Amino acid sequence: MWTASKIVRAVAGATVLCLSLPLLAQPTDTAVKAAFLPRFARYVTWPPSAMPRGASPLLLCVIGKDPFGPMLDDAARSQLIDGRRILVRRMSSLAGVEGCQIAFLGSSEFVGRMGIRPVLTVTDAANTSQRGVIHFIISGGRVRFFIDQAKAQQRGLAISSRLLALAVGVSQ
Amino acid sequence: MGVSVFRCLGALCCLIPASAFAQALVPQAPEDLSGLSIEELANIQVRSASKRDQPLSAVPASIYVIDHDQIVRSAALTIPEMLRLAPNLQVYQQSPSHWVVTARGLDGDPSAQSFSNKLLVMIDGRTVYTPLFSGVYWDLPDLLPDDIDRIEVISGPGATLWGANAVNGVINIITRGASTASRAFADIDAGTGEQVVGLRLGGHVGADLSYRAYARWIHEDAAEAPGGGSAGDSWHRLGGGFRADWTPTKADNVTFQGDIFGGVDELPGSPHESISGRNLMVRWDRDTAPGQQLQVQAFYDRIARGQTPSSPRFHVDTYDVDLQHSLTLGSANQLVWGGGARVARYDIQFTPSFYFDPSSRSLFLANLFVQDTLAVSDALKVTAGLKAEHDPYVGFSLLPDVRVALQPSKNTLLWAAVSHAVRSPTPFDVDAQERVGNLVALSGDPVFRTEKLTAYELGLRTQPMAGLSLSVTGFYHHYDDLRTVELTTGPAALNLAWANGLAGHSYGVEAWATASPLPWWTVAAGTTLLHEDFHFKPGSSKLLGPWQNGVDPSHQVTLRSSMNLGKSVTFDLDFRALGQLHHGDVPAYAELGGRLAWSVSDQLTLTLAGENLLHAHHVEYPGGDAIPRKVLAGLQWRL
Repeated sequence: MWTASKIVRAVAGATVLCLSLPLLAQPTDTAVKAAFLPRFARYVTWPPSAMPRGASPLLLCVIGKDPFGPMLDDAARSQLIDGRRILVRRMSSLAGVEGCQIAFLGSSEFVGRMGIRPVLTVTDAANTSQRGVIHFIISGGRVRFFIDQAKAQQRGLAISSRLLALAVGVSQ
Repeated sequence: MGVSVFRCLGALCCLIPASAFAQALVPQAPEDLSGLSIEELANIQVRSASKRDQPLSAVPASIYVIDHDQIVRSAALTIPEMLRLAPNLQVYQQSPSHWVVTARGLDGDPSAQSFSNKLLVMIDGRTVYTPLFSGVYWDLPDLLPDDIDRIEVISGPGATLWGANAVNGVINIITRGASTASRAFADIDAGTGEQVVGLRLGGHVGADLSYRAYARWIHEDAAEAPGGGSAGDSWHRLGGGFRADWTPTKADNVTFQGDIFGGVDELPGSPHESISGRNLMVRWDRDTAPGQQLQVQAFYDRIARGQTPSSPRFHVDTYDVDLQHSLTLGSANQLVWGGGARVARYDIQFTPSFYFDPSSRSLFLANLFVQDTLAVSDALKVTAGLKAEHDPYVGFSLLPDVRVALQPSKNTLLWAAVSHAVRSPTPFDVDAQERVGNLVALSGDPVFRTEKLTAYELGLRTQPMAGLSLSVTGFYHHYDDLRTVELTTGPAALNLAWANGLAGHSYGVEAWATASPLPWWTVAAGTTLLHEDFHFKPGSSKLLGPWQNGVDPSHQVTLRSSMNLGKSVTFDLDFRALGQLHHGDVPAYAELGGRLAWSVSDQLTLTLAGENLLHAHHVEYPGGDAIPRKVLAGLQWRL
């Protein structure tokens, strides 16, 4: 049987050794949310009038406070949706939001003022209890989300069943 | 025997800060998540960051946050077991249902009838304590571990924000908002000597209201008496409750929550002790303007415990209202002010040999506080605060606190603090009366004063590179008017009374570090070192010893390893080693806990967990049981 002192030595020795190795972090919830955002585009269909012309990139807008930083740009760079790239725009107000396909709303004040535009609004329970079409939460230590189908339909957005299946709740 | 009802105590009194010390971790360098499918992304375990944006690294206090993942990935099933995960707490198990928890020493000495009573413990801002003796009965509060967002543990005084009794530390248990609850959740654990079943349902009504409701059953077999044989102290508890979060407007958030429970603690050779309680709370948060927040909270709480109707029993009803307003003044000042009022009505029926006089009473407490954080420069912040608290025994106490935080770089914080905190007198200090035949009489002290602490702290917190964080705090505590037993005159042959006969100091170091050497592996280490030096004040009759407020170990070491093995298996180990308890005949010991979990699918997880794995039995506290090894298999299902 192991004795306590052996375990102290074993674990303590390992700790010291590790500190000299290159360190990587477990993903934060913010990193996972950043990875989700551009990927939503693949599972949402916008009305043709809301799409940019030709093969112009889709716009992913962060409105207000940006919790993601370069993580979001990295995540967007790896996505190609029907031949379109995704560009990240950071905006301090809603001016120009009609050009965005996806809008991450950094605080509750923007949610009420978005109106009914064909924009996939995304909110985060960590910043606001006001919900966009998609609302991030942490559930069971994982990043999950609610989907508001009624809001999506009002805005002319069709959400694929594959995304709906991942939602922890879908309000009709 | 009546005094046994007072086993295991911990903290008194006052105010809520809505998690003033919120946790938020600085986002780490992005790891490559781009190769994952959207389903894999939805299934990846994350470290949870929190609502407020004050990074943990900027809080000028010795704060450790036990996060949700750490809780659900450990073998801990009850709150005191979870508190073992904080390197800045000392946690001792006395029996299956009774625990002693303290920070920076003063863990009590049962032979002197002194108890850990200088810690403030709260669940979502509701104080979890028995105002009769400023202690916590750890068998009363219980939560579904999956509902806990985090436990903030502050070692050292926090009296200015939290009030009297936040002397040696503050424990702030924060549950998750109802919107994060899955539709259905079940958690079953069973094994040697323990069975736990938890159920929860969650949902939402419209877009503005979400709710969850839970029920939880816990049963633990009796432990072994120190001399062998059963200690006859099995217990069980059935509880349930709910939380609803409502956002009527974009600026308002209203939370309703409540719990109800009942249970039985078996006592060896005497009638069992029943425990019960219920509470109801409403909290309203309003963003009044950018940078301004208002919080109003009210709660009712009842706890009761007792043997048969004629034997020792008591109940306490607490009614509490608190208000807190934070605002930005100009560009450099962040002001928080607030106040609160509380009525605690109690009724105590004890035995002819141990009773309270008066046996029932209403205690009224009130407080006002203000705290300002001044940004002298980008790197230097000074926080000064003052609380005035009124209690029924000593009137006003002033609790000042000054903290300086220097942030030479984004990842390093140097801080220093000077603060004053008190433990207010309680009915146990003032009104207790004990008789042993007509020989010995111990009585409360009608002029008992507050127990006082002036604390000097110096700390460093740094993240020298991504994935490595380190916190070191040194402290010097100067105590005065600690409780002692003194000789006095009276009708019995030997008359004893409580008094404020001890003074002294303690100093020590608390340090912990966390590192993620590999993307799938996190290790952590922590230690506390403590030196105490107490002496009787002039005029004291010097009974018992100067250590009668604590039989604290001089050191404690904790080590943790947390592994993600592939996408569906997690493996966690928690090791702890405590030095010998002085004057308490409890030898040094080391123990190990761990949990292996396999997520069979999104819905189903199977676990195997163990606690105290290194020895068949070990004793943790003077007069406590021999605590057995535990191994439990578990199943978690979520929809």
